[in-house]
Amino acid sequence: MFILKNKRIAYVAVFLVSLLAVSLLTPFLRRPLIDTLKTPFSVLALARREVEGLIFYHRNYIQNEKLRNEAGLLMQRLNLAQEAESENARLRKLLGIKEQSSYGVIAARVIARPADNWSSALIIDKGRKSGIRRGMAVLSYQGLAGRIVDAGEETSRVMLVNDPNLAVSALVKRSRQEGLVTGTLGNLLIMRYLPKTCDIQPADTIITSGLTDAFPKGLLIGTVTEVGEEFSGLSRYAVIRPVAEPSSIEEVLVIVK
Amino acid sequence: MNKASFIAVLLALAMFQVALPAPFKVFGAGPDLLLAAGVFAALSFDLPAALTLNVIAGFLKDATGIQPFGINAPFFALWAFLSAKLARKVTLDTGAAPVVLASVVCLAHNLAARLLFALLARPLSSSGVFVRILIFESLYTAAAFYLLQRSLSAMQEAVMRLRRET
Repeated sequence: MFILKNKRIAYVAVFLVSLLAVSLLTPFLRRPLIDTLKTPFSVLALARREVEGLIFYHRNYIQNEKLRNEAGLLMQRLNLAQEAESENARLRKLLGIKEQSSYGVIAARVIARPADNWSSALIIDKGRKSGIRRGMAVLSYQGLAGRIVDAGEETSRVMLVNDPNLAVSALVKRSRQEGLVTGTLGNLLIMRYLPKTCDIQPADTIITSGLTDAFPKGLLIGTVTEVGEEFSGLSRYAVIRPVAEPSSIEEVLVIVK
Repeated sequence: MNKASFIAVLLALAMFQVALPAPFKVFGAGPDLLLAAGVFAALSFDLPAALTLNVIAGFLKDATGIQPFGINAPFFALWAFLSAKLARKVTLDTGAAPVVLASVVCLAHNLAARLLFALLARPLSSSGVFVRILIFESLYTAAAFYLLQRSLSAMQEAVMRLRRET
């Protein structure tokens, strides 16, 4: 009886130790597993895109028309901007000012998203082989999308800007007021640590401040939709609509420093 | 259904879950298919097999996440153990009982996991988003569990019929 009971305790102990090992080894096992599953993930991502295209056919059709008109307008503005840029370059040359170094980017495709609803992340189809490293900033075509939290050989995981674990040092483009932008898991972001007397209002544009090495200065984050006072009454907060809709990102650009 | 086939089902569900198209999400919450499969395993297999299958399901869920350690594998095993123990005392294989169990397990899992992260000083989402995901995910998981149960039973019956005929 005693031996039988001991045997049972031994089984339970072995199981618990194995469970702990699985739990602790998960971060190390993720990379090879996701790298192995890259091809099926890519195929499923393609199927997912097709399904979404069919479901949202009408919305996409209307949006396409609107975007075509907008593209025409933007083309005109681009021409004007190119003119201004060349003029700027000429004047810089005349004044002898060094050009600000621009950053290189690597384009990647989203192949999967995490299985749980409590984190906002993506898995992309480029990894260390393409020069991607942990900590690099990730952009969508509209603006800041997130940051690389893990880079495997063939794939990488990106923590999106609306994840509560990601904090971005940001500033209001118009008034240069600084604050910290964090995610809410929803479609909106929140900018905190704003002084009570700060100059911020709805429709203000929020950009990265470049105060930390994590994100270069001037990346577009979003626009302010609401400004309120913190519960403590000591500071204010601003609700921000990100330019990059986190749930619909299909392609990203990774900034290679 | 044998264990090997169920592992294949778990793999398929994991793949489907990470590729779940946005229109299938309700208020930003998708169903936890792996947890639903875990509850199904707890009610259909013997305890050692149910625990093993739940650890695999939990690991598959952890594999695509961004948490610093695997949180789902131990919790899935715990829920499987408790569900199996409960099933010995209460009849859980009739009517809506297993669906309610799946919903309760999902609710408990999310609360326990969030509590653990709060204790580890990890930032949580705002209360509104928290409650929204908590409720919709548990309801959606219950609905997914019902569909999964029906599909797996139908699959099992088809295999049995095929075996009888051959």
